[in-house]
Amino acid sequence: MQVIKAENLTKEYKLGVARHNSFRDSVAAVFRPRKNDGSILRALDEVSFTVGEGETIGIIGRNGAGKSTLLKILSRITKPTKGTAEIRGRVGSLLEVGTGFHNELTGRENVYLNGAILGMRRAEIDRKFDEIVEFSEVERFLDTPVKHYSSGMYMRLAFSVAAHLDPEVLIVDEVLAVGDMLFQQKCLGKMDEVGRSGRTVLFVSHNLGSLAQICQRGLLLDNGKLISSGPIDDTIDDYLRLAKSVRHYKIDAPNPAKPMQITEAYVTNSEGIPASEIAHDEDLFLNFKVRIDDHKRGALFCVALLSKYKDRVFTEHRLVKDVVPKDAVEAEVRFGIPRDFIAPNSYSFLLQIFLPTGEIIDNNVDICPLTIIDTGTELSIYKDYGYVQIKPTWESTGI
Amino acid sequence: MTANSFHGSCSENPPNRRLDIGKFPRSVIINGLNADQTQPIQTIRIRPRRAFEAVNLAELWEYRELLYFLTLRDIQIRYKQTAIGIAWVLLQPIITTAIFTLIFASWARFDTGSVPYPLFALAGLVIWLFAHGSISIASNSFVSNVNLVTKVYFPRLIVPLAATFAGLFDLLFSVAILIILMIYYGRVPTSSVLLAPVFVFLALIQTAAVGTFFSALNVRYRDVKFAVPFMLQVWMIASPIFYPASIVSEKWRLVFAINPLTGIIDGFRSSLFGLPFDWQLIGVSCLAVVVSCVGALLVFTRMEDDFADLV
Repeated sequence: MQVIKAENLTKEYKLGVARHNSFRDSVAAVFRPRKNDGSILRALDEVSFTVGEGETIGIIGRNGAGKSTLLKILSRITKPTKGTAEIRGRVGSLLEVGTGFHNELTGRENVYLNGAILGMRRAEIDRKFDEIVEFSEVERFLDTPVKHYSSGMYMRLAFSVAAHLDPEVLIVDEVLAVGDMLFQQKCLGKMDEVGRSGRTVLFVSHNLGSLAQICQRGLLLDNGKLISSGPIDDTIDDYLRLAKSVRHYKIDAPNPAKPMQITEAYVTNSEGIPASEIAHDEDLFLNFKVRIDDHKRGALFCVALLSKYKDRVFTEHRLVKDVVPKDAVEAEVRFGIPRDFIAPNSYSFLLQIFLPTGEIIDNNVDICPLTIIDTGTELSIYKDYGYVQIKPTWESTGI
Repeated sequence: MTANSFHGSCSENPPNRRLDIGKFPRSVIINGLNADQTQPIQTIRIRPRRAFEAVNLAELWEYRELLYFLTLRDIQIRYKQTAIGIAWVLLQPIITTAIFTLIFASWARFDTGSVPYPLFALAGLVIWLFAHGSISIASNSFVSNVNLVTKVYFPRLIVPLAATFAGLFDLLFSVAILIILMIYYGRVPTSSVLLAPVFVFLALIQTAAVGTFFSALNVRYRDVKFAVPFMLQVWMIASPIFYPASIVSEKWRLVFAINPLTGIIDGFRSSLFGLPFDWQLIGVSCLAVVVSCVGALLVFTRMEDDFADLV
């Protein structure tokens, strides 16, 4: 049975003139001929799909693909410019945790207020109150204004209220990216429970790992268009292919003062296709071109992977003469990192040529940004779990 | 590349721990659904906005509990973090009445008939302070509730309405002072006092209409922030608060009554002090209330769909 049926949903935003923030501008605009009729942004472009009862759908896309706009239309926060949608049943939308929470009010008061805002009846909140409080683990502070809560407590209470909303259709946007790890796990469990209890769930997340865990089907949006829908694994694959936009490093003109210089660098995946997003279980390669006017004795390549905080995850160096054929004036080098080693996170590279004296001939810091994407590790429920994946051994001796 | 080959390519990997949702029998899954809902499952239709949209009263009624909780919140937080807190509710009418009495009872000497001037002024102020306070807060209500408007759906009208209703709490206190002052002056109310709530109700409707109108306008035009205090000042002078409606000549009195507060305040006083009602005056003002209500709702429904995009 169809629970959601969307037909040609389109949302346009006029850029520029449309926002008259003062009355004077608006009056002035009447007398001035319209200049920019052309600048209309289509945030959502003729999107049609159906969702069956009890399905859990993951909505995937890059930033600005139209995911949030779609969720906002389905949760009736904004209206489409064109197209229609029908939803059977009560819709609960969690585009944010703790909407309407007021700092001056106590935990108890906020539970009722937030519940009502999310569309719960007072009687319903009364009935679920104990359960909500127990789930949130903040019993002791229930009569304290939430401004005295730690951010963790605040989030836990807010999520608990949301988690106890029992709509037929639940729309969730990235709310799992909050709270400590244990609580995130608990939230994910709750989401899964909701999905299994026959409710329909629409879930937007950048964490492909948790999408793969929770969802059955996926919708892939790009530039406001629905470009693929189907089993979640296929949609994630399509997304990864799409996300392989190249982050190419290339210098405009060679610097003759440098005897050796990196002229080009880019990252490729296991198949040799340039990419900036690579699955955690794919090999990745840093490819670079080097121009060599003068083979300096003892010159070394240095490659380091930088974390998002720009500190080194690892450093590797190798004599240029061991990599590049003797007398070559130009060479292409491929530096490989095996799969299942770098943990899902954001990185960039440091690429240098230096002499044993310590003199750096060519220095390229923070180039070729890339993201290792989680396509389903055990740890995918955590937002950030470091930079390396290891396969340790665990042993114990019982007494 | 299919999904299987994608994940299958890493053979030395531990198997993905993915939840196979298909394993759970559907029959078990479905039960428990809808156990909470007493009402039948409705279908929500989403479509582009039309040129004219009526106010969905049924939906507004559905969300009455939200109105209650938001009103409660507005009352709870209004005097938080203030040094004298709730005393503000009492100070405003008392001090204003005192000032008016000092100025107008001794110099201007308005003819307030048998009613002592402080009592006369306070009766007007009860209505005016409510209107003033509620409109000031309601007109800013969307701007101060941005996160609600951009993150959840509910009938938007609830936001300015809650701000207006919260003003009723202050009204209760000024009415209490009024009663004390009536006892002090020994005014015994006649049966016409039973009509007093009707005028308070009219004031509520009028205030809600003006507050709603400005709240919608404020989303798009931040000029409202400057216009409202100024408008309220003019409105106060144009309303029979510190002077009686009877100082306006017979010929112009009905024009005067186009200001809805004229009839409301005059009627409120008549009902409190057992004076004859000027039904013509009240009638014109009632009409003005209806007109401003319809106007406010027209503006509001035209603008509400864009709120989430504009705020």
